[in-house]
Amino acid sequence: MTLLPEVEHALLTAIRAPEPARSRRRRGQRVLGPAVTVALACLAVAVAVGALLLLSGRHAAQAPAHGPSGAGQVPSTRQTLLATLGVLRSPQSGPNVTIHQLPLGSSRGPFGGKVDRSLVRTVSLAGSRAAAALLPVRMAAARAAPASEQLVVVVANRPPRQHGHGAGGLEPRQWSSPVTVAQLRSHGMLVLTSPRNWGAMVVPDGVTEVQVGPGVSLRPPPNDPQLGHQITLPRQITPCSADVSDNVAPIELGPVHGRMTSPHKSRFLAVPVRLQTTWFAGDGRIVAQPKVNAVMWVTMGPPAR
Amino acid sequence: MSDAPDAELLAASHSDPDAFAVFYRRYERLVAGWLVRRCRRPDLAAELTAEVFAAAYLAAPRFRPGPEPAGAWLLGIARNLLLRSLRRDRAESSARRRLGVERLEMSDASLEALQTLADQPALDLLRELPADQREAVRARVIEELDYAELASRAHLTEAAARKRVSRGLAALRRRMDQQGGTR
Repeated sequence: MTLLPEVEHALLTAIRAPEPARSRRRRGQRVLGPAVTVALACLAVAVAVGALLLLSGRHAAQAPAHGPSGAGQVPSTRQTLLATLGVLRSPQSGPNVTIHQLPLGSSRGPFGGKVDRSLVRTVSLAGSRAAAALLPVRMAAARAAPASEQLVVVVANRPPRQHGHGAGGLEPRQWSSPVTVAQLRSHGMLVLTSPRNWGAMVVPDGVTEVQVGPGVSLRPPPNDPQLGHQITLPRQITPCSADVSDNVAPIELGPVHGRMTSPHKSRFLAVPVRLQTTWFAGDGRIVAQPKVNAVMWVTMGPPAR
Repeated sequence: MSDAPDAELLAASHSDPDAFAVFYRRYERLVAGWLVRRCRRPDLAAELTAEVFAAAYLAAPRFRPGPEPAGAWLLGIARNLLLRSLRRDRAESSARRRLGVERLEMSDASLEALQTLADQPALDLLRELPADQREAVRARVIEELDYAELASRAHLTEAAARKRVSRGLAALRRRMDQQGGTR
C-alpha cells in the first residue's frame, strides 16, 4: 500500500498516457504505403492551415469570446477561461497592466508559460490601494498534456506616483501558482499576503458573495527539541465574507498569532491551511462550497508565560 | 519484478510503466519522509515527492548503476528540488509539467499520513542500524558530506564509504517497508 496514492496515481497516469502524436506518426510512416503518406501529408497541411487560422484569431483577442465556436467544435481553454471570468471580457485599460518585477514579456516568464498580455486585467480591492491582477498564462504542451490557458493571480499594491516605479504600475506582494480553468471553476483561487492575511479570491461568473473560513492549519508545529523550537499555531481560522466585483472578492482574515521559542527570529510563519468557502449567487442561493488550500501568515510572538 | 534491482527497474521504466510503479513504491516512503521531515509541510512534501519521481522518470535512461544507491540518487534530487522550492517559495514543478502530470489534489488522509511520518522520529530507525552504517548514513544524508569527506572521516576508501552508505540505506528502507506493512 502506498503512502500517497494521489501522487502515485498522477505519476502513473501521466506515464501511461499515449506518446505524443508526433512520435507515433514518425514510427507509422516507416511501414505505411505512399497513399497513406500522401493522405497524412494532406492532413498535416490541413492542421497547419487550422493552426494559422487559430493564431490569427489570437491577435483579435481583445474582443470578447462570446460567440459560438462552431457546431461540434470543442472550445479552447482560452475560450473557456473567457467564458468563466467576465472581467476578462471587459475592455483592458492600458496603464493598469504594468506589474513591476514580473517579466511578463518573456517567452516562458516566471510562471512556466507565456503571459497572454492582451487578457491581463487588474481589479481594485475595495477599501485599499491594493489590486488583484489576473494573468492568463499560455502553458506549452507537455508530454500527454496539450497546451492550455491557465490563470495566475497576483495581489499587488498600487504605489504612490513619487515612489519611483512610474505611474499606474503595481508592486506584486504575492502570487499564485498557475491554476487550470477547471480548478478555477470548481475551487476558485485564493491568494493571501502578510501581515493581516489580506488578499483576493477569484471566482467564476455568477458568484456575487464569498465567505472564506472557517479553516484549519495543515502544518504540524515544527517543534524540534534539538533546535529548541516550540511553536504553537492556531488550529481554527475565523471566517470572513466579502462581495464579489469583477470576479474578485477582497478577503481579509486578519492577523493570526502564534507563539514560538526559537533561536531564529522569524516574524512571520507561512502556514498552509485548508479553508471552507461558500459561494453565493445574487439571490442568496449557495452556488458551491469548495474547500480550498491556501497559505496564511502567522505573526509569531514569544511563548506564553 | 518486485525484487528486481533498482537499475533494472529504471532501465525498463520507459517501456514498462509497471517497472516504474515498483520503483516508486520502493522509495516513496524514503523520499516523502525525508522531505516532510526537512520542510515540515506535508502539502509541499507531497508535491515535491511527485516532482522528485517525475524528475527521476525523465532521467531514468541516464541512470547508471554504480556504487551510489538509487535511494541516495533520489535524495540528491530531493535535496536540490527542496532548496530550489524554498528559495522561490513555491514547489518546483518543471518535471511534472514536462511529463504532463495533473495538479495534485491531496486528501486529508494522505496529508495526515505524511504528518505522521514527519512526527515519527527518523532517528529511531537510524538507531537500529549497526554503528558503522548509522554513522555513514547520518554523515551522508543528514550532514550531507560528500563521499571523499565521509571516507576521510571514517578512515575508509571512498568505495568502502559508498558501500557502507548503500547498505545502511537499504537496511533503512527494509525497516520502513516493515513498518508500512504492519501499520
